[in-house]
Amino acid sequence: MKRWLPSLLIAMAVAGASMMTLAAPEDDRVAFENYFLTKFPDTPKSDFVNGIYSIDPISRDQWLDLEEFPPYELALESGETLFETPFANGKTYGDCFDNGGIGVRQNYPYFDTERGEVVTLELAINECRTANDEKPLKWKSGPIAAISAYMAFTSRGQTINVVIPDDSRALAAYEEGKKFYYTKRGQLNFSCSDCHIGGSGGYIRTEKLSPSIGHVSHFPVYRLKWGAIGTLHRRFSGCNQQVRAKAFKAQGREYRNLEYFLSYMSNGLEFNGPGVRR
Amino acid sequence: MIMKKLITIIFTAAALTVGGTVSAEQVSVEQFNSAIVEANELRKKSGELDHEWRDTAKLLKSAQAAASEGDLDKAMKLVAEAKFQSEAAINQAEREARLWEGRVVR
Amino acid sequence: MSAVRRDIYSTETDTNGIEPYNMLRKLISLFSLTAIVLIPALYSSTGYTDTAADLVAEGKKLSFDRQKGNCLSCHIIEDGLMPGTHGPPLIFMQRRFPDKMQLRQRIHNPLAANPNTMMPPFGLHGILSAAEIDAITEYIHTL
Repeated sequence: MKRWLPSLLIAMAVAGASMMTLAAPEDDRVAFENYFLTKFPDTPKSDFVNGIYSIDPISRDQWLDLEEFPPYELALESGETLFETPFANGKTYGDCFDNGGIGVRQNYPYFDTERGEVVTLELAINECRTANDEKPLKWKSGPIAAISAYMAFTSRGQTINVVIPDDSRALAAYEEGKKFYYTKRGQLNFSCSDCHIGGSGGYIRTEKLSPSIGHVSHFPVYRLKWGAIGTLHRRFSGCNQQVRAKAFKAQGREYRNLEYFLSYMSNGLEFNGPGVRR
Repeated sequence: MIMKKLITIIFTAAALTVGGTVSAEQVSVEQFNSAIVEANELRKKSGELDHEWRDTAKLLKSAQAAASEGDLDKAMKLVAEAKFQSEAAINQAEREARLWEGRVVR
Repeated sequence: MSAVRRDIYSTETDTNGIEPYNMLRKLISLFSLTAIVLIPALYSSTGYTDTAADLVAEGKKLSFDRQKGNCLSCHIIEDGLMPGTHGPPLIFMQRRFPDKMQLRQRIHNPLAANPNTMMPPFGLHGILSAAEIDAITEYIHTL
């Protein structure tokens, strides 16, 4: 028995390694979710959509106070106005989306099998503009964040349900987002996972680090630090710069694939954007 | 007198030590130009690997500015720092290609 | 400096006439002059301008500085305010690192001990200069 034990172990290791590469995204998601449910047993699963406030009772109270008169309200109003104002050709954003663009946040991000790439809500908003001979908006803040916030607001309570179609390119996009998430980057050598999986719940000075599950649910967000509403990709580039990595282009392939992976990890939770954060 | 001799020796030694740290070499514009091209290529390579650092391009920009003002010593120092960053970023990319999968939550 | 010179070149004779004592005083004076001239010269040639105590103080400053070591963002350090929790408290350092160079190496490149650590590789990535890491090592090793 002792003689063949090493070879058995090697065989198991090889089998394990090959399973690793074939691991279905759903296995990833279940493990991801279980990690946070185990780490934060006092937080009900549905509450992770509230990000840091789902695990930090002290800042949660301050946040609930903020939500009484939410600072994103002005952005919601201007977003609604922008959304309803017809383009020069007489058409509106509503003409570009299912259900006139109301309550459709949960359809994004998705993998477009015809184009072979991930389409996010903000990408769809700007492509709606260019299809109607309007100039595209800047990606990270301002009008696009306001429109996105309004569309998210009309979709509150819808379930995140990212589907990975049976298309090797879709799986590749997911895998690329996953690799991005777990890869250390920048002079300070941090990965997203360093802070928001292993580090979640811990403190950087007085700042408690948020859990990754539910991260995408509440974007765009009004950040007190920005004094304005901004998109998820604006937050991505901020994170990258904080670890002293060169930020990637908002709505470039890298960040769209990251959004695809991160949204998939939050499948089953509800969209509750826009949010307000410190 | 012995003490006077000693003092002379001490001061001479001190003067030599200080003098020895000043470089006699002079950087030429050509040297700078080729160094900054090389450093910029390395920066691009780190970017192709998705690992460019935040400040590398800024360092090269400052180096160019210092060179235009005629401060080649400062310019070369900045180029060296940019080069160091890009090389470290490329190493990081190679390291992380092996390591990232081990961090996936299972 | 002038006080020292006056002492060395003093023409006063010692009133109690004890020659050995006089000689000793002269010797001490010579020593201090040598030290004044030589120590800064030696240190400037190796990049240091500090005495050992100054180096520890400088190391503490660098350790607490958010733009430099920022060690407090993750470690509890003696009287440092608002420490983070990601790394172990910095205590018993001489017991944990009997060899000071081992501690320096851990700050220079913590990835060598654990490639998945959250701790930034301060030397390997040029976040701090070698002299800054030296000072921080001196300070942390006193904890």
